[in-house]
Amino acid sequence: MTEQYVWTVIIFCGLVTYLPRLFPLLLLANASLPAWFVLWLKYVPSCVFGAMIFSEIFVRADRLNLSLDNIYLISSVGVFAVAFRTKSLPLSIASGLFLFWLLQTQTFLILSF
Amino acid sequence: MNVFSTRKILKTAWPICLGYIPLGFACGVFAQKAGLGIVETLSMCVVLYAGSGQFISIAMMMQSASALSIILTVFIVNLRHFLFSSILSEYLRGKSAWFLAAFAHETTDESFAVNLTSFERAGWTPEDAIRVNAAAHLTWTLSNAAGFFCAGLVLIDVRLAGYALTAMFIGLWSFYLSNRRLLAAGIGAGVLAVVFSLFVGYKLHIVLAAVLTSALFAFSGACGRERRYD
Repeated sequence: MTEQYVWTVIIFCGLVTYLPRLFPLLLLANASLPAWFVLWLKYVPSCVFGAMIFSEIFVRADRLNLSLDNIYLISSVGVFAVAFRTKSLPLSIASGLFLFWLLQTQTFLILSF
Repeated sequence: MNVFSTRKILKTAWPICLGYIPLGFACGVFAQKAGLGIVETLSMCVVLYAGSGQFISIAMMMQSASALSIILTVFIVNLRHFLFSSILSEYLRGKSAWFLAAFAHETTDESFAVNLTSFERAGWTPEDAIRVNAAAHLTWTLSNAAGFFCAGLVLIDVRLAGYALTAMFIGLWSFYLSNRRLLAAGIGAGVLAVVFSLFVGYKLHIVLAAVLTSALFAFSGACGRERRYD
């Protein structure tokens, strides 16, 4: 790895990451938006969350994993239950950490027998 | 900034930091093992500031990929921030171009998610948001530095750290789920994202699924209302 190579990567990766972050803010923050666009934006956040969460917990190592040893999926069932009932972010995270840790340890114990 | 608002910022920022400390640490360890220097590692945190973008670019540099292919890959992987910035723009009306330019640099999956749900409640200002972002960015950078210097000394559970952020997303998502249409849209986008992820790489499945499903729901919602008016 030459120094020039590393710095080219850092600077240009930074640039191509920054520009898509910047343009929507500059274009939209002070524009008046059409009604259909505002209506559409209303649905985007929940869809982004659904898309990020589902692809994180159902797809592991580029494969659909619906089995019981997908601890991401099993832990998330618990976190969903807690999140739904309590609507509490700290409790959701705490229950997630606990469940994931427990299942990870359990899997390790089962495998070692 | 008084003590009260500092508390407000920390109260909102801690879930991000909880995930960023171990993941940033892991990223710093990775950079050190890849042969980057501390200045390069930290410059990456300051200039690029994107978890998956940093991991991917370091991994590709280790494989001696061409600079152009790394830049293109990182561009596509981080293109989803375009969507995040579009959504947050609604809450940044009337802000100066300088403020927007600074705010834009801090967009990550996590800072977007936390700020969005905070903005939707009353009393959350763009200034609060940019402070939360700065706290997250600082945490990420310092954790990278710690990882760089402690490489090989401390073992951390990266999977567990990553899952802390997934649990955070689930917690944030649940704020929307009292509305049935939003819930249905979210689940629909989730299923579609899973299907897409098997065909398209570079995290594009998230943007594709979210844009398509939200458009479908927004459009059918408009038609539904018209029918009721008839």
